[in-house]
Amino acid sequence: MIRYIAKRILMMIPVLLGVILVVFIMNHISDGDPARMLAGESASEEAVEAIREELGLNDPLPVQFFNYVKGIVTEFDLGTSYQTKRPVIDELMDRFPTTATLAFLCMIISAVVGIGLGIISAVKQNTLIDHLSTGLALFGVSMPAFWAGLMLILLFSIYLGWLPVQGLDDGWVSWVLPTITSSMAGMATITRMTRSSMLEVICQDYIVTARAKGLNERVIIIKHALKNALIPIITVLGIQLGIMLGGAVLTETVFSIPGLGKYMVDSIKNRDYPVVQGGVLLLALVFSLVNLLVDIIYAYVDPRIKSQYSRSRRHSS
Amino acid sequence: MEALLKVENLVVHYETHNAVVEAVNDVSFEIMPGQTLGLVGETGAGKTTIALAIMSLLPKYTGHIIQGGIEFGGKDLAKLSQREMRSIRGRDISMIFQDPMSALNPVMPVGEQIAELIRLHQRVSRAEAAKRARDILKKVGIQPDRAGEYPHQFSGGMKQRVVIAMALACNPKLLIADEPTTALDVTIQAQVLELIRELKDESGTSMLLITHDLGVVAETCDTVAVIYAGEIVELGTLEDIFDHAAHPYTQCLFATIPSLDKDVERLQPITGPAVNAADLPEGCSFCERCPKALELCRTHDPHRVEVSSGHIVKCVLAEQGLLD
Repeated sequence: MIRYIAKRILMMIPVLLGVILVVFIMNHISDGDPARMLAGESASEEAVEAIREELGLNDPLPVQFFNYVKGIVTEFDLGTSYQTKRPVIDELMDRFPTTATLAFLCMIISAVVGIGLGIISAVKQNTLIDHLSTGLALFGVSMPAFWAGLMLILLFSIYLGWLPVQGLDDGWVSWVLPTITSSMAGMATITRMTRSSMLEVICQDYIVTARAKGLNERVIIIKHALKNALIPIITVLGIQLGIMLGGAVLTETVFSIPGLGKYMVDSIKNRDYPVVQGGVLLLALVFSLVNLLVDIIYAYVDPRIKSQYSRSRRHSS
Repeated sequence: MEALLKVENLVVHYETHNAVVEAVNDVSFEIMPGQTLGLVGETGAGKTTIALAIMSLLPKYTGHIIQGGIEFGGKDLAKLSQREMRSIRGRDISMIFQDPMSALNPVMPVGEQIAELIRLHQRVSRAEAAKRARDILKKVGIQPDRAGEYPHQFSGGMKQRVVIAMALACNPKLLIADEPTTALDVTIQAQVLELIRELKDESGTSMLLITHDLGVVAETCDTVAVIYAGEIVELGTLEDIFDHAAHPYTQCLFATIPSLDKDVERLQPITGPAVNAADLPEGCSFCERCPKALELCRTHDPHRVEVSSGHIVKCVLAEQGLLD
């Protein structure tokens, strides 16, 4: 198992290099001149040229790429933001905790509510409660976050005045609306996934075996069925977490939260290449780690997958 | 002697959107303590439905017991609530399923699956239950230290042994074995059957053995019920059925199996498709395929006739005294 994890971590290196290369190339073939943007519309051509030289933009592309990768490997240097002149890593780390907090809150909420609702709908299939929760799920997926966020603000902040309109300066209450807004889609997806996965498991022979043992229905559902239904649910949860950790652009914009998503979009608009590259790299790293985590959890949920991991180890060594 | 299980006039229907499937029609039989009844019939005859009805495990929305009683230990199981049934399932009546590959929970160690049952019905400590689970695994021929392994680490025959261990863990009064050897290969079949018989004799458990294999019946059963289209067409002792088979369907069944003492060029299949249980004919349900059918068989549904003591045949020929 440990060797499997080590192998997976090693395999991340080419993935990340690939990501850097793609983003690097895309940044350089896209329109616009960062030196001109930094210097301003009215700056002289000499001034712009000086900035270009200073940033190393005149070097051949392979040299620029090599220098960039060398910086990352040797001193975690993701470059300097063109806009603020601060190291990109500091800029990202200022915002990442906020995004991560929001992501984990959403994860917990959507997992608890989604799995709960999914189980109830599966057990009470085709009853009113099932129709209500699948309806709710459909509603959740269909509602765009910017609209849902605005409606929630209207209701809870403006009319009722219970919760702050925006920002994160009022302690935990300021997290309530952003969390709900961001978790809605995930919650809905997980509800549907749990429902269908549970319905499939409930029809299996070993569930009949469990009933034939005389176990009560709650034990059968929680202990026997849910664990077997978890694999697809964990997959969806992992993807959701990965996406959320990249920043919830819409939610962050609606609630004016200084998170990674909004910062990335702003940087793209400002052609702040180093920030975009660093941000995408961070995102790729986080996504790969979440994926690895998901695969490790698989092994603990399903012994068959665990034995596959150790088998693949035997083959490769 | 009082019968352990007495099924009387049992009728079970499956109701779906567009059809009512008459799966079990007026079935009656008894099982004496310590005895084994074989329930023989082809696929779709309603054998498993009878087992599920006894266990009260019919599909929740579609399966219904329309009428009849299932008397077990002085109680009518058909009238018990699910809560009351739960204390009987696994403790007094347990079941071995057809396919050991899918009957065990893939994400739970086998020892734990057995221990869970013991803890549920016998109120013992976790450690004691685990110990008993290991003991019973040993009894069915599995090394006790494999208790921590998962089903996928066992072969099919071994899994069926685990299922048997689970079924017998609480010394049930009645064991329902639904095609326990069908999914296994022939060499393993004999071992598993022998194991079931041994353990059952040891604990004095009665058994309802569901099978389509007359060889298995011959080796294991005391009495036999032949079932066709949800009806018992012939019921009697092993000798009645094997030596004096009276119903044309039973006779046809015997003609389908090869025999060592007769030199037969071709085996005789039963021609025609099995009857559709969603659309049963007015008369005898076997008449379309019956080599001895009379004109009367098409319109008249025969009664049960006791041709000798305890040997019951449901056939027009028996009614008319025309059996050979």
